[in-house]
Amino acid sequence: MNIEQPPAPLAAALRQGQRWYPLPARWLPGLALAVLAVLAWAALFPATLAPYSPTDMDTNYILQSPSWRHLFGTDENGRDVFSRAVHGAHDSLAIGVLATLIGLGLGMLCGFIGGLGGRALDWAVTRFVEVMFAFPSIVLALLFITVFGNGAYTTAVAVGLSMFPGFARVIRTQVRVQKNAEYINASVALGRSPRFILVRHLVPNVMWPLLALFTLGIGQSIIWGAALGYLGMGAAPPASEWGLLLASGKNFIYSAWWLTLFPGLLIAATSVAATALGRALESRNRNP
Amino acid sequence: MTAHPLLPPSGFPTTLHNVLRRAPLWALVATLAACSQPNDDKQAPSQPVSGGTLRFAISEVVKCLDTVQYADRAAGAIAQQYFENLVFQDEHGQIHPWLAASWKVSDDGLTYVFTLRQDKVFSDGTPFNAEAVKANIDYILQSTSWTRTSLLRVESATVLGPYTVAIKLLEPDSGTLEALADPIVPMQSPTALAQGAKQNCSTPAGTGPFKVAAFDQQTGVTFVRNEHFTQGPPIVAHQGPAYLEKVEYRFITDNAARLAALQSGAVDAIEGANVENTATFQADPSITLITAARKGIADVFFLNRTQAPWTDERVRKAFIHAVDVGTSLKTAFFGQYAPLYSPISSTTTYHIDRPEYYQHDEAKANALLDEAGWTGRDSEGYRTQGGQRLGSTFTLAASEVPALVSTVQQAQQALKKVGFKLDIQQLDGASALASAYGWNYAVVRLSYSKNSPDIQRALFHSAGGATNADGSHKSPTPVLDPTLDHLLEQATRAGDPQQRQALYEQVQARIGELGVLLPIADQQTRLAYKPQVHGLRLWPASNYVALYDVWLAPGH
Amino acid sequence: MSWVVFKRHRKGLATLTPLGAHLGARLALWRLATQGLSALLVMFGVVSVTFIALRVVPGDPARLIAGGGSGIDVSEVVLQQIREQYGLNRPLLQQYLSMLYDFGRGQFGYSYIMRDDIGSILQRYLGPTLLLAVTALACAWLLALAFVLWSARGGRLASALGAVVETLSASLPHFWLGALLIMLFSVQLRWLPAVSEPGSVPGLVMPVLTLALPCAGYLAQILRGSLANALQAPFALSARARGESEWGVLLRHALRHAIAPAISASASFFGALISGAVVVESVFSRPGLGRVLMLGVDGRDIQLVAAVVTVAALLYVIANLAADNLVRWVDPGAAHEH
Repeated sequence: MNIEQPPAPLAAALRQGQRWYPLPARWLPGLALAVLAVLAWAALFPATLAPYSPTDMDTNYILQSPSWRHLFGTDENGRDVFSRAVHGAHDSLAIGVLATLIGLGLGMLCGFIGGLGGRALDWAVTRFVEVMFAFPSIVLALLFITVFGNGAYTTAVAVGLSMFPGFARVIRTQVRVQKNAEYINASVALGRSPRFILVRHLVPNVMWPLLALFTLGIGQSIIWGAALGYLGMGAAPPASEWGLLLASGKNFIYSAWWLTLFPGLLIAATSVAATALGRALESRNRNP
Repeated sequence: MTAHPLLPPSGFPTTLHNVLRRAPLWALVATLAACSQPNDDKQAPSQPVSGGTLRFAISEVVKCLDTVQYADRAAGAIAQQYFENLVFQDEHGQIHPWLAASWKVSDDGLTYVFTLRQDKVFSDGTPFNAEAVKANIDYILQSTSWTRTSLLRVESATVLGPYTVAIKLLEPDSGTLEALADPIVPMQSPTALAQGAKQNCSTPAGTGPFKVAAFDQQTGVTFVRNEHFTQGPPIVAHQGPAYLEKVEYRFITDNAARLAALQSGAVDAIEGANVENTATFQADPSITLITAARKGIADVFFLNRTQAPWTDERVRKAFIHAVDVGTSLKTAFFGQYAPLYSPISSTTTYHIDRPEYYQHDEAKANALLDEAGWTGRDSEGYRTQGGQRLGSTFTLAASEVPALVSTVQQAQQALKKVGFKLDIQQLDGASALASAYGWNYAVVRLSYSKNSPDIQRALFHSAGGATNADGSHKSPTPVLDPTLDHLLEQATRAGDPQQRQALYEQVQARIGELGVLLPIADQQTRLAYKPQVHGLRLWPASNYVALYDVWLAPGH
Repeated sequence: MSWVVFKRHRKGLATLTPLGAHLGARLALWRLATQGLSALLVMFGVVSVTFIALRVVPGDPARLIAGGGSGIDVSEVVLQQIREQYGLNRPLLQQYLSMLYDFGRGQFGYSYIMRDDIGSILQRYLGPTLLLAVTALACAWLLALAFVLWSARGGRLASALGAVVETLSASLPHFWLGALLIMLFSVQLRWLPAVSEPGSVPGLVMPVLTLALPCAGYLAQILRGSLANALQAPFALSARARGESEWGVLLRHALRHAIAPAISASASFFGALISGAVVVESVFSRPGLGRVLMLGVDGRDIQLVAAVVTVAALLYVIANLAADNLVRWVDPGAAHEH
């Protein structure tokens, strides 16, 4: 280090740091929220957005490219792809949210038991999580669907099951870090009940930093659901879950690009919006 | 090249439409043969050229090259390159000599005596003779695969002389010669068989025009020319060794990737040129498409009559008349498949169309359902009876081809119109098989490739209802009709071809009367190839690819 | 492993005394032993889960063996014969124990669905899958690092844009991405082969990209987050106060700390890469363990699936150990949090 050089003023250093910090652009969270709101609306009230029924076929108009009549074109059975995509939002978002919730729920269970439990308990839980982690998740999902039949909800559970080890591990680490934090010690000194400390301090402090993980999980779940669809183990036709649309449209990828492009973009848009929103919440949480 | 007497006069234009219509097979063979005619080739020489490597992609993975151990369609479809059979079946179902020069059937129909050709040698040097045939029959009889089922009524083989062998049956079976012509019942080198099951999967030896050089269950198979090959079955276009020096089979299961491989020039030809890509094939002038219906049970929707509501014949027939197969053929099958009104495919011997049993007629379907008492309607518009909704579940295999997935969904819509709720359930291969043999399904799509109408006995005879210890059945398709059983048994025994034809026509009619299945379409072998490929053809016994006559334009 | 221990304890102990060294060696041995033991336990658990799961799912292996896919008219006698031949009629517990015993001896047995020794199947297909996964992971790291560093210097807009691009690439289903790449590079441009031959380098490009792109997006997200934290940390502040350039702070100080969580995450990506390989191998018709796995699941070949899953688990355990130690090396401070 060059001692001759005058040290830069602290304020300048802090400003520099500010510039580094990747605060999302101000409009991004708003946009993400708007996208998710539209998707949620589509999931809950598809009939208000879709001009046609998702299952009605007009066999005189098969594989039509996008037009004003059919915004996303028509599929090989003459169904309106836009209407199918709108109606598919329900299943797709359900898979995304449910799978993540299941993964997070199981992950919290294992993570908190392991993080707070004694050595033996922690060891046992950690080994269990390790086993599930080491088990290729696609095999787990395939076997689960084979036993319980396929459909949007079994897909959600299967995907959630294969996600939970990742959550469990991160949560356990967070719990172990947080439980020794000073505010916990202070709370214990103040004579708060363990339940109070767990619910009011530990859970929020462990879970808030993981918010981005959760929102990312939604996108990842939808993608895993789509992969299962590609392997023929997703939701059964004529459901219009986006992964299924993508998987069945892939057969026509050379002649009818619109069958895969739009569902693919919807999956990506959902994932990006959910993550952007998670980021915004996370950073607001960090520097209120 | 000299025209073979079996072939009709050539000169058919190799246009797509000609081939795509359900033209009689001889027209197809002619079209293929016409590849070497001057009018077909624009710039390439019209004389076959020896040499070169053909790169050929197929849609299914071959797990074992010994078709007796693993008698699936993928293995059967590749076996023509390295195996030959005792006899050859032509496009009319007639049996011709192949490895057997001639044969005699005893009057009681129980003994077949074959006189073998003396100039055939297996590619590993083992001579082909009566001992070899006996070794093969013994091998098949102790095997556990479907090949064993093909020779169900064979008792034993006896060597009568160096080149004379007798095959004895337990009871007369008019399908015996057809079975011996089936690609999954080949003649293999006894030396190769002796190397053990595992080894024979990757290095079998036959008398065919190519021999196996390398095999990998995921990548593919490499064949090299059998230089000692002299003469093929009657329909081939030349004699002596094959033209191609080497053949590289690649297994490309992904439909889009297979097409990409052809378009990008990574392979010269593909099998499994799926119907969804029709537009792409039509737009690409460098791609030629040939198709032919495979033999056996066609793609049909089968109704399990042991499960409600299919116990009622009227409901079964209502299903059959409600579904609009014609529209599906136009849309899902892109107009490339002709209507089919029989359980067996259009190329199967004694096939006869009986449209009266299967035609689309919504009014009739409604009338039948009214008559069956399904007169109530629920809030969603579905028919009810006694508070119960009329409906059933279609069991769809996860690996089902897109055209059939579309057809099932279209059927669902058509049935909704008559107030019938069809749900769709998807199962993976093994679960689907378990549900089929356990008779736990309600409606299923099925097809069985076999070069003989006697496949109907294996599937539809009540003997298939026999229950195994684990509760599964011998056959996945309960028809359970004594009249049909009797007809099927008679057909198996019938020695006279005309009598056999009459009986099999009655069988097809009886199946129509019972209303247990809805024929959708033939199963097709669909090939697409680039201009450098000449002489590509299908062996008529099962309409699988034969590469013996194929040659590549030089300079490619 | 002593260097790891050395690094780890350098902070705690002012000087490395002989006592410290002795303690360090004992600690290392102890850690090695526990890690080995838990790895074994994980493998045991994985094999058990596979066995139970494949026994619960419907589907009769005997019929699958007999039919070769079709299997009509197979008699009870034949089915029994097959069950005997493959030991399928033994009590379940016996089947399970004998499988454990065999696996313990390194004997994987015979796959009825592939008609081959499982040992030689693994030998043949492990290489291509490993090559694919390792190359993809390396490629993902390169992409992620380059992208994060580039966008980190570009100000607020670049950083927001970067976040979107990362999320977008993490949001691409493998099979769709693969198909798009084939369409672009094989059919349109004809630069790369649509079919990935083993041993061909151009054939490896698209499968690797297909696996690497989503993984890179995910890695970049983690890197960006932890880099942001590190740049706010006191040590970055003091470095800046000392007058180090921003690149210097970034590369010399922040990156070292920021990289640790991404390394830890890479180990679990390695597990996910195996699952991704199942899809990618079938899209590009590439031989590998992923397709063996699918074949085994389809054919209810317990022995085969268990063997592949065991190998995948072993790889995962090794990747974890490697990541653990790498983290200790890169950022000794981070080790204390584990």
